[in-house]
Amino acid sequence: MSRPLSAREIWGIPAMLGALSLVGLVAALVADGVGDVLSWVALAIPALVCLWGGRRRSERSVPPAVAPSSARRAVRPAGPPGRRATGSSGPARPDRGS
Amino acid sequence: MMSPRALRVWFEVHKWTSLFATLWLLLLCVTGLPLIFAHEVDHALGNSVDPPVLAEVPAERASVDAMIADAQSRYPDEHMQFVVGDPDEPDIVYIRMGASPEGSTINVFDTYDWRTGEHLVAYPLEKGGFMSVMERLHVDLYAGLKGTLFLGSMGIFLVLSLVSGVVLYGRVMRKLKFGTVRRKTPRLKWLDLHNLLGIATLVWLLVVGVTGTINALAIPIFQQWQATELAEMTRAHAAPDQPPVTDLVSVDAVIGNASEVAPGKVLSFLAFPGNEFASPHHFTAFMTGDEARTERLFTAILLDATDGEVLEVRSMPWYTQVLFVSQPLHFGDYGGMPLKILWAVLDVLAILVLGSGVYLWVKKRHQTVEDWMAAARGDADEEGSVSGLSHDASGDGAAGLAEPLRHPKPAAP
Repeated sequence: MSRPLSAREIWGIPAMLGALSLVGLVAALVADGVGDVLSWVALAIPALVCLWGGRRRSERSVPPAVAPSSARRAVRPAGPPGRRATGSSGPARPDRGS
Repeated sequence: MMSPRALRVWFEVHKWTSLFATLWLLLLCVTGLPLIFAHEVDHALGNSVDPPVLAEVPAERASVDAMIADAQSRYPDEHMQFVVGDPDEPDIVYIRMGASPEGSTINVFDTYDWRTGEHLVAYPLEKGGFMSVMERLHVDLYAGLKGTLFLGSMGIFLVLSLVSGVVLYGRVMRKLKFGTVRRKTPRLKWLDLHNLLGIATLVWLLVVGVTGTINALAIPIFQQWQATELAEMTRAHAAPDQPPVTDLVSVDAVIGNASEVAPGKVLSFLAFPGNEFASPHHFTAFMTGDEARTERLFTAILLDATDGEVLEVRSMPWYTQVLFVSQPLHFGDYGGMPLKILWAVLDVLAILVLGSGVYLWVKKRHQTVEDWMAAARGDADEEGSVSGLSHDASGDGAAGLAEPLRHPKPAAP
């Protein structure tokens, strides 16, 4: 996929997540009961999207123009701080191409 | 379309604001995590309690005067500062005392049952412990107002870092579907996760950051109110030739009179004469609504300290209202336990964004914007080869990135 994405494709989901966050932040502030529940649902969505991203296995990159040196990469240390909490599931699962 | 120069500026802004603030923001996120549950921790430790269930609730509320007398007998050297109510817990009253009436130090914070007048618990202010260390590190770094303002200023860097991060996100995601996490190398994976987590938590982090900065300004904000509105009110009803009032009118009468002129509102706190929220000759009662929508709307009522007469009723100005709204938005304590848990989850995600940012920088400290673009596109290897740059020349304006590669690095072997 080397076609540049449209602004809507790039910003659609981030804008939606931002709007949901705002709704979630404000709802419980202005109403008890229903407002609280709305806050929980709206703020849970951005958090769940993060967890989904941490678990998911996908390779969608533009094919490299230059073959990268695999020998070099193999010796890289495997993880930065905090990898546990993203739920990164270690070795990639080949069945999750989408 | 953004010029390469503009992109380079955003890249540098993102790098330097983040580098400068990350250590402090990490500190704030880590210490803030237990503070989200401060109320629950206090309960678990027995520092605060729920009002007991009564077989029979007395028809009339207990006397606050009697509670004050009880507190005064427990702590004969302490001075009354505040009687504090809780809109969410109407059966509870807190008595706050200090070495002087001014209110700058608190030595006593005791809880009473407003139905029976019974003393429920004394908050162990001097005990310190884990939560108090977390709070000091989060609020003032043990350096008083200076520390608070320093930590508050981190909000400015956070905003710059987030805004520049969004600009870079827009650039790097031009050919990547939302949520793409490439795992070709650990660094690429964490670059993608940094982008995804950053953009998904953006608005929450922005709001918590900005409201944190506003909360850090609480003391100057209140000083402004004291120097203008409060000073005006007390001046209008001043008795400058009189000595400070020592023989105070009944506090029950004061609270009763204040409630009468603020229908539908409950006591948030009552500042005693001599306090910086009152005057040597006046009480000030701060009343709020008791439901979510009105809980943050304060009315200040000035009352005569000798006869309890209501002298003036004023709503609070916009800048204190901003502060009052910023408090819950920063603490996350306004939507029950599920909201607190979400706050904690989002806080951990913010820690990951900060941590991965440091990791990405450590792995490539001398990265230029060109290296970054190349790596982000996935067409350069881990060493930041820029040899793939021209590959993007088809992009709209991206060709500009091939512009002066000032620090080309040798391609990996």
